Amino acid sequence: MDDSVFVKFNSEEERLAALRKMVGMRKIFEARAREIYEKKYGVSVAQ
Amino acid sequence: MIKLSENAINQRAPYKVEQTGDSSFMFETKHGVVYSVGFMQDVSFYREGVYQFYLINLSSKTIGVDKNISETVRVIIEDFFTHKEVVMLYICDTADMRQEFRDRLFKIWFNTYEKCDLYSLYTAGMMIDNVRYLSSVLLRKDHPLHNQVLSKFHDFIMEHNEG
Repeated sequence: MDDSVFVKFNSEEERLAALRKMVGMRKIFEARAREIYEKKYGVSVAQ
Repeated sequence: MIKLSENAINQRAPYKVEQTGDSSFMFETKHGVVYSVGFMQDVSFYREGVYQFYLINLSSKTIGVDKNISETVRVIIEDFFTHKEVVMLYICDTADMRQEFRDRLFKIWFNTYEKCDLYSLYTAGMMIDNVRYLSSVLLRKDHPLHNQVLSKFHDFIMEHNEG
C-alpha cells in the first residue's frame, strides 16, 4: 500500500490543527456563497 | 479539482441549479429559499480526492419539508460520484447545537437512497474546543483505496479522541 497520499501527523498538535482546519471550512463555504449571492442579486443575504 | 456538470444535473434535478464554480451550485426553491451547495477539496488527512460537502441555506427562512430539495441535492451528489476516485466528507453544521439532528437526517437520507449499497458511509464524533462535531465520509465501494481511506479517517479522528 502506498501511504504517501495520506497525511502523517508527528504530534497531537499537528493532528488537532488539521482537525480544526477541517471543521472550520464551513465558514469559508458560507463566506464564498454569500459573496456570490451578493454579486448575483446585488443584495446581502441574512446572516 | 473536479468539475461537475450543470447540464447533467439540470436534466434530472427538480430545481434548476446554477453553477457558481467547478463544483458548486446555487438553486432557489418554489418558496424562494436559496441554497448554496457544493464540494471543496479538503486535504486534512488525505491529499487526493477528498472533498468536503456543504449545503447552506442562504435565506433567512425555512419552509417545512420540501422533498425537491433533497432530490436536487441527491442528483448533485450522484454527479459528484460519477468520479470514481473521490471521497465526500460531510461535517454536520453545529449551528444551534443541532448537529446530532442533522446527522440523523443525513443517515435517513442515505439509508433510504436506492443505490446506498454501492457506497460506504462511516461516521465519527469528536470533541474540538469543547464542541462536538460529527463527521462522515462517503465513498464508492469500488474506490481503489476504499479500505485505506476508511482506516485512515478512523485513525485521524479516533487517535485524537484517545489523545
